[in-house]
Amino acid sequence: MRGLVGLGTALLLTLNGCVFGSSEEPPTFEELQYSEVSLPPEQARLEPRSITLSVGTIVKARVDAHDSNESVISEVEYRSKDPRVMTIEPAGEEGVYILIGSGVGTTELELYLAERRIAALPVSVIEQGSQ
Amino acid sequence: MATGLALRLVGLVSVWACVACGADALDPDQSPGELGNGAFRYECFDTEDAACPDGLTAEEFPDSVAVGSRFQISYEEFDPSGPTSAFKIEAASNVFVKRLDKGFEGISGGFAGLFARRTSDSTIIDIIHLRVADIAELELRTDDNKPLRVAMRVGETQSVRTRTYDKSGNKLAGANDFYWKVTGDKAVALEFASPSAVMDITAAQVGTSELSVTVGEVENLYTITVEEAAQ
Repeated sequence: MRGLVGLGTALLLTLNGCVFGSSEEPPTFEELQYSEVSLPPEQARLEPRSITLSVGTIVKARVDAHDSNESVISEVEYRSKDPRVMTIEPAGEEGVYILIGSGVGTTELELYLAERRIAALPVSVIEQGSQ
Repeated sequence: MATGLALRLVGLVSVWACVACGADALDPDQSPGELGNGAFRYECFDTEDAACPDGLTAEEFPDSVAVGSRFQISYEEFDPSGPTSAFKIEAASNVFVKRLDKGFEGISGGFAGLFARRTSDSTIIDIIHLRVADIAELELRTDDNKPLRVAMRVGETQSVRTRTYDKSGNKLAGANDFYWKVTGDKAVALEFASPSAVMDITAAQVGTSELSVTVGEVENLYTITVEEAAQ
């Protein structure tokens, strides 16, 4: 009997944890920080809350999402809303990405945490030599 | 903050050192990738590729390829992850280059970002930016690297190869379509059909001919005079 109570308590605690986990507010995204940025021949401006690339150019960067407490938000997944404008791919090393200016236009870089979108940053892909 | 800066500096120095040591062993037709993981190699698209005077190997990794030309590059890792590592070269955008069954074609002037994707796990391993430029100037050079001779004697043949340059005088690589035409007297005969980047020009009979060589929007005209063969 005591064992059953223990098991029940454990189950309740686990369920509680699951429910709490799924309803927990995700961290508040504050900004992106970049390091190890490669230098393409044409303009690439990686800003904390926006990205500007020249069409046809490729940039490698270590990208970290930070919350309002200046802590790194781990396990963020980055997706481009429109890969015809910009694509982002892992570069084979954790936290390092390849950003590709595929076509002139605007789109968003979406940040997902456990399939929940926590932020979307504007991305502009511009003509080469336009600035 | 200071630690972060120091780490970044160490990282930068490491990457530079790696590129430098790898670059020491590079062939002339190779260029290190911008991520320092290996080198891109310029492959002769065919025997008429302007970067390949012998038709087999590029003299050097070119700075620029011509708009309208076909070209091909490959990639080799400095430290191969396995004996079966193979890479596919892809373009960042179809604005400047177009993918062909084999290699690429220059479409418009600009920097074309290209990347090497490892086929086994689809990871991008390295990147390079290749300049694509419009042809502004065309030149004919003989096999012994002299300008075309416009005075010939009956029976002579000179083999010439085309060369192209951008508006700043930079030599352009790639295989373009060159069209050849002779007008006026039938003083000279062309030995190969167009399009061709190379041509054997034979002095057939005494007279004067106009030779026209065209690539894209650029046309060169030469007046070739043929005299009797020397006795």
